[in-house]
Amino acid sequence: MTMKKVLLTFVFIFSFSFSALAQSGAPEQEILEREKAWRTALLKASDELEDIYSKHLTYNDWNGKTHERATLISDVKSGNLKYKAMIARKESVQVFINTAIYSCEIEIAGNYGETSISRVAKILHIWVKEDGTWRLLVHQTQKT
Amino acid sequence: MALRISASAQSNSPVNAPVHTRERVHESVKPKAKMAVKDSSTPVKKEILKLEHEWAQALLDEDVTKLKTLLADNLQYTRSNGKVENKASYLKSLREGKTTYSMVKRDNVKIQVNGETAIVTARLQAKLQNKPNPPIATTARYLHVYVRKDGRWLLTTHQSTEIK
Repeated sequence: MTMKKVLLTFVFIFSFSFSALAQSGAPEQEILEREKAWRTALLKASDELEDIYSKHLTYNDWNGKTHERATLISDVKSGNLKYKAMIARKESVQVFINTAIYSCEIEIAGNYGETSISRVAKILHIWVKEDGTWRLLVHQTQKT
Repeated sequence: MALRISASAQSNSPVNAPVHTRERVHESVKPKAKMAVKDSSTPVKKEILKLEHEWAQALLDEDVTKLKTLLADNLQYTRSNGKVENKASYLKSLREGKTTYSMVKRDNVKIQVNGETAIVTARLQAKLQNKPNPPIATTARYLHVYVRKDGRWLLTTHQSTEIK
């Protein structure tokens, strides 16, 4: 086999594997999609949040304060908590069967009541599979 | 020189909260910390609580050997100041005595077990010193993720956020 054939074979296998991973719903990819859905739901204040947040959600904010699931959702829906931008960087996902650990650096802009929010923070998310759906079980934010 | 460990429990938390304090005494006997457990609905939760207790006590004891056995090799340890450490750098700071604890108290401990992973969230009050800085008292919320590997639960993720 010539070097050219070897290279072509390698490129074909690599492309196929990458494509398969992206399309087959690999758990890591699923988590990235759910993260994107979470950010979109917050930005659009959509009902999708109900499906994303586990009923057992633990939510610790930037100040170490905990928030109830119902309050979080109603704050977003009422517009009291309004996100204008959420940009995730340095995303990392580890999946352990039906639990996933996601971390990233996130740039946030918005308002909480009259208070303007603008910061870069680290977030850590624990996702668990509940009835076949990945749901956010723990959210923790901290400074970078 | 021996270490004296004392512990008491808080009754108004989901899991009774151990308070570990340390004072250096010239005794050969090292009393064991006690932890009364409310939330022990499953053997796994009981096991995780025990590991949490061992973690807190190992911090006070500066017992790096013990900590080494509790931590996963791929540990991601994010301190409340945002500094991220791996297992080697985290243990190094303890081994060199850069970080020392004189009090560790936990409450609002919540444990959720999901197959081969266990998630712990809790409030932590601690007195510690990051040398050469002076000792501080801090209160934080922390998150621990344990993963079972080869039958053993190992701490794979720690993240704490200071309560302001």
